[in-house]
Amino acid sequence: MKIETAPLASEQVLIALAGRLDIAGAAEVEGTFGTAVDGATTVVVDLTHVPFIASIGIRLLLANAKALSRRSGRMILCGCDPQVDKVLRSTGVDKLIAMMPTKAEALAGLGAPAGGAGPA
Amino acid sequence: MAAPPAAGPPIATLTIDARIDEISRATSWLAELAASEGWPEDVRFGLELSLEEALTNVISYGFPDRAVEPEIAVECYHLPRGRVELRLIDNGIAFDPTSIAEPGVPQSLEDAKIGGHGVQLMRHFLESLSYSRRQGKNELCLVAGSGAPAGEGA
Repeated sequence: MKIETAPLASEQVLIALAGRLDIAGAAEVEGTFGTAVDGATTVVVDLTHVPFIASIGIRLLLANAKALSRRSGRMILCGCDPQVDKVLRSTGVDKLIAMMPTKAEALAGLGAPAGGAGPA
Repeated sequence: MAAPPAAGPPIATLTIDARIDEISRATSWLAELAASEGWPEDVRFGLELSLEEALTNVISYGFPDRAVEPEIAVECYHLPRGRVELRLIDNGIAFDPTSIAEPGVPQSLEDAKIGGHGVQLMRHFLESLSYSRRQGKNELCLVAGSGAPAGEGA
């Protein structure tokens, strides 16, 4: 699995994942993911290129969202494939972490560049 | 709960070693089977996810200290009405995932449990999930295909 991180603004970071977020994938990205989250208060996680997520992937997202929440930060998930969306909703993750349909909408909600002047 | 008898011989079987990297080999095997058998997307995804979760448990916890030489097999069967059954058989320590309670519905991230979602996912994406212990082996039976979740509202 691949991971790319990019700063969006001060303490805002975009994490783009690509590949299967299964036990092998999660092990490959968890270090980089955690480091990117450590320095941020807002983290947008782009799942557009993630076709599969298992419970280990949910654990990765929840653990980092929890860490953000403890310092009044937040995580936003975006671009979920329909099956990934079902996995997140069936485990209640959608009630705990904000989910946006696309990366553009997630960024627009932050007021970050490339998002334009979308509705709040 | 005893697994119901499967119909006829398996259409495919796979044996794997008790190593985490073997899980990818098993899910790839299943994906190829799904493609060659033309399973609907929901059946393919539900079984692939459930196999990943079940094997993660067996391989992570089933063979502490490798006290026995691990034997892990996955058998695939066709069932009536287009349903598909995977039967996971291992000689690890007795473990019944169907006895695991689901995490409660958390009100906030602070209250949320980080883990414990594997069995919850299997119940949600399968028609049925059943377990039996026979002759020193765990048998976990995963059935997908009718669109009815195994554990909704339970």
